[in-house]
Amino acid sequence: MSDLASKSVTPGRDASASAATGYRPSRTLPIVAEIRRQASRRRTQLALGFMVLLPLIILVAFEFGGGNGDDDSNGGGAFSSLVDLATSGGLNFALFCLAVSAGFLLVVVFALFAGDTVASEASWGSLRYLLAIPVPRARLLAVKLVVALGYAFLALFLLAGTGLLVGTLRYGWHPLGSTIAAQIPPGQGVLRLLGILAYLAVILLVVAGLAFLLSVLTDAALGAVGGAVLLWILSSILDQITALGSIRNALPTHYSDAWMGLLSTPVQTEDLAKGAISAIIYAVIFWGVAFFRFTRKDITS
Amino acid sequence: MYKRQLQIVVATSDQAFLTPAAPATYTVAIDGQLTLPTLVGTPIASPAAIYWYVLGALLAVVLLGLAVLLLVRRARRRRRVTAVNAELAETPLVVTGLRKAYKDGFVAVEEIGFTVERGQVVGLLGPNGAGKTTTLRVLMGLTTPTAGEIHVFGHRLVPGAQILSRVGALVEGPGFLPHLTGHQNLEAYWRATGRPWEDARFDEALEIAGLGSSVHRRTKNYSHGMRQRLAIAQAMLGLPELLVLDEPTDGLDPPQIAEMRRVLQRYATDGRAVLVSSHLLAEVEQTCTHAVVVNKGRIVASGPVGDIVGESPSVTIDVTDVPAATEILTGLGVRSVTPDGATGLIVDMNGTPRAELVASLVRAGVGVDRVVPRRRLEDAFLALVGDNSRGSGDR
Repeated sequence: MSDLASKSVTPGRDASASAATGYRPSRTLPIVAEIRRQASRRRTQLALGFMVLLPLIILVAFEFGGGNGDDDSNGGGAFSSLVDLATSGGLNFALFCLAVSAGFLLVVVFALFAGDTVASEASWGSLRYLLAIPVPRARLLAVKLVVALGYAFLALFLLAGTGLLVGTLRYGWHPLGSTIAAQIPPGQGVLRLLGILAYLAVILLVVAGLAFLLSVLTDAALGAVGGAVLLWILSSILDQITALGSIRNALPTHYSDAWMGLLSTPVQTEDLAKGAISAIIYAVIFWGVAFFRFTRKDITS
Repeated sequence: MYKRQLQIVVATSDQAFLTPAAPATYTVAIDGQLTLPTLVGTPIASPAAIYWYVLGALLAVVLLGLAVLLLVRRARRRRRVTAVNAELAETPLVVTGLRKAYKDGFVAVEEIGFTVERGQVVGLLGPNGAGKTTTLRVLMGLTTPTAGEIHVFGHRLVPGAQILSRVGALVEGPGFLPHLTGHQNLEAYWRATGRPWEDARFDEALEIAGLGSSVHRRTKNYSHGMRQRLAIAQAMLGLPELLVLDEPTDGLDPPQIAEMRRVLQRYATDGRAVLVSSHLLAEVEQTCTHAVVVNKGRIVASGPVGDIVGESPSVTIDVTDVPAATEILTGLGVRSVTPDGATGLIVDMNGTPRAELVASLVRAGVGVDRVVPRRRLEDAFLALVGDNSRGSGDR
């Protein structure tokens, strides 16, 4: 053991100091520190890794699938046209990767990053030590939210980016084709793809918001992630019951496929705007409740 | 790839037998260039645009609201920092009238108040459920008290108060990121404080943890005792002026406990202070300079350990014949005689020397197996907890 007494600080130097030397509330839990905290976790690495792997798996599947002998997917509609066109060029391949992931995989990824972030700290018991540093509660939540969203957007971007890269290498740099509109030249196609990415990012904020709220309310990370995905699925199911009429417009999943409007010529943006409005309202409400709750509750973990 | 094809079909039809009777062949040719009719589309006026304006307005409202909220918070925080009680500025910890009642009516802490001065190692002693941990939770800003105040170096302590940065804590067991090594955990913790790297004193903290090369193993593979020691080291990072440790010796083996005792005593020199909670009498007696005894959410006794633990006027005697001994002792003018177990008696001496007590018993032919002077703290405990063998503060 060291001789603490002889090497110690002189506590009497400024007895009335309101904080330890070097402590500033706005400097606690820097964004970089939180990024590192999350980056070292296996689930972050796996989730991001899978985003890179998925386009490769799809590519291999197309290669093994051989020609277009099996037409069982030709059920009609916008989606099947995406399947048919997936191998027509890099842009279409990236679009296909997004289309197959948007319904469920990306929902899980967003829920994972946003739902796990606070609840896992609570379940490890490290949350109370962060708060005792003290990291101001609102700051803790803000940093955690920003970093979680950053990772979620990164995952989305990795998926599309890898799809575009792999698809272009294999199928070439061709215009974005779709059966419901004229061909879109590659340059504009990239813009459309970015638009689709942005819309997906916005619409998935609802999942991120819900998962984040649950993450604050519970100490079980699995509960937060699973709960958010579950409610998203429930909303999707309700959205398919036409008897509900205009109530469905208020469901967070109602406009989740509106990005397909960006594939038509000219682009149909009405639903995009409606979807973005709905998503932002939901996300702000969820985050607002999360902040309200977390800044007031007793931490019992 | 798609090739757009345009097909022109020319067809004839029988128009109600009005065709000439003689057979004929017609040849059709394009005259010059075929031109297709083209139309410039005019967008239909749709209400779509209005939704984009709504979206823009919504974003503006959200951003504005956020800005207002931030400004209000900042102003409020600034006001809070300035509230200093100058009289208490030199005192590491003053707890006054602390009370915590939960919504379901359970009162974890009835009323607790005590002071920790510089240079003291104060033991918060009490049975399980006495309200020790709740007190420490409030002290860490994790729980809001129902009533009462806490001042740390004169600064009022509320959840998230800046003054907490001068307090190091271990409350309710260690909390580490399981996928990081012990060393990485300490680094991650210090990084989260945002304070200068050299202020952390990692080497001294790691020496206290005494984990050797295990410090480079992941904490999820640690034993309970190893985690505990790492948590104490984490609490000591930056050598905070007030150290709060909840059951620090939990999971440690006897040599480590002895070592920890020395570390804590040394830590409290040079103007620093330590608050330790424990449910073990001996623990507090050996480690602390001062003790605060808590039971059922109330302070029972407090003061220097010497005063509290000093000898009490009572003694425990094991005798061969309890009824006879009781009779003899009552005749000696002691204050009270209480049976304790099958052969034991607790005698409140009221000034009678122990030697005389034993001599009288032996003279009367009662065999004496054991005479044990009792101590005040034990008396206090017995009186409080009663003879209930559960010996806990469960309510």
